[in-house]
Amino acid sequence: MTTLVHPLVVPRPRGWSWFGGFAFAFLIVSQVTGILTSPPDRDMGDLQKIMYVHVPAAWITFLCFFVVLLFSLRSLWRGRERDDLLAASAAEVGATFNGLTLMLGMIWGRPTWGVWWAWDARLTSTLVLFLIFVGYLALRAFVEDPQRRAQWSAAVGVMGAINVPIVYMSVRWWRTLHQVQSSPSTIDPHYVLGLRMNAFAFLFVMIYFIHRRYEAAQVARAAEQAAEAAALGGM
Amino acid sequence: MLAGNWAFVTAAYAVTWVVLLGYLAHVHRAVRRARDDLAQMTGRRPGEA
Repeated sequence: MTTLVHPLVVPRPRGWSWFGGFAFAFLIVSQVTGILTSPPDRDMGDLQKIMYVHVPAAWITFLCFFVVLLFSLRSLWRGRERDDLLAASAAEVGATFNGLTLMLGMIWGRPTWGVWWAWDARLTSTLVLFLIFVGYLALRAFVEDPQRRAQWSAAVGVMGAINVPIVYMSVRWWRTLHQVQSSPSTIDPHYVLGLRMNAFAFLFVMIYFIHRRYEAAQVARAAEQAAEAAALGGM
Repeated sequence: MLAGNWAFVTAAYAVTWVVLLGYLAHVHRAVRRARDDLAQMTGRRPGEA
């Protein structure tokens, strides 16, 4: 049985607005730092600066889907509505970052490879991951019964998250166009600070987004329950 | 070539901000709409405990 949120007990978290402001301010500082402190790359020139948004967006996508995996498993195990709503919130935020990753990759690919898109293993597996989580969100929109919605979407969430290691390793298993993973240990020291700062900035934005989305889901669910109670004459 | 590269860099950062601010607006709207619905269902003003 799912644990329900009481309609009148959905707190309005004030401290989170400050955190959101901090996250976006830190993102601006990180981007300016990355752009101003890094010299043009020998091969890519200034296109290297796209790395500061593309790579963190990809990492945060993976992290979001790991959160989906965690809370989907908890939801299946314990049947608590809180876990289901958290998984759904992380899935929506993850799909947003996933879409952003794809768009940034296309913008980087056009001047580097000469094409906007190639059916490369990394690109294709990232697109498949995106489509799975768009499907996850569509499924949630179409299933009205909260318990069924929680169970079905948790199953899709777990299956979708299993794709993350495939996406991550795709550049090593199938060497095609996309280069191997970038990390602070594999890039020039000039680029480490910008990459680290932007990765943390994206992380803070992700935490803020998930929290706000979860708040919206909690309040919406409470409104649904109040409507159900009113319809049954329990108010 | 250099100018061309900067156009792509600018486009990448612009897309990033459009997506992030767009999602921020979407989430804020979702919270506000949900709180309005809840207030309507319970007969209380939004924000009232």
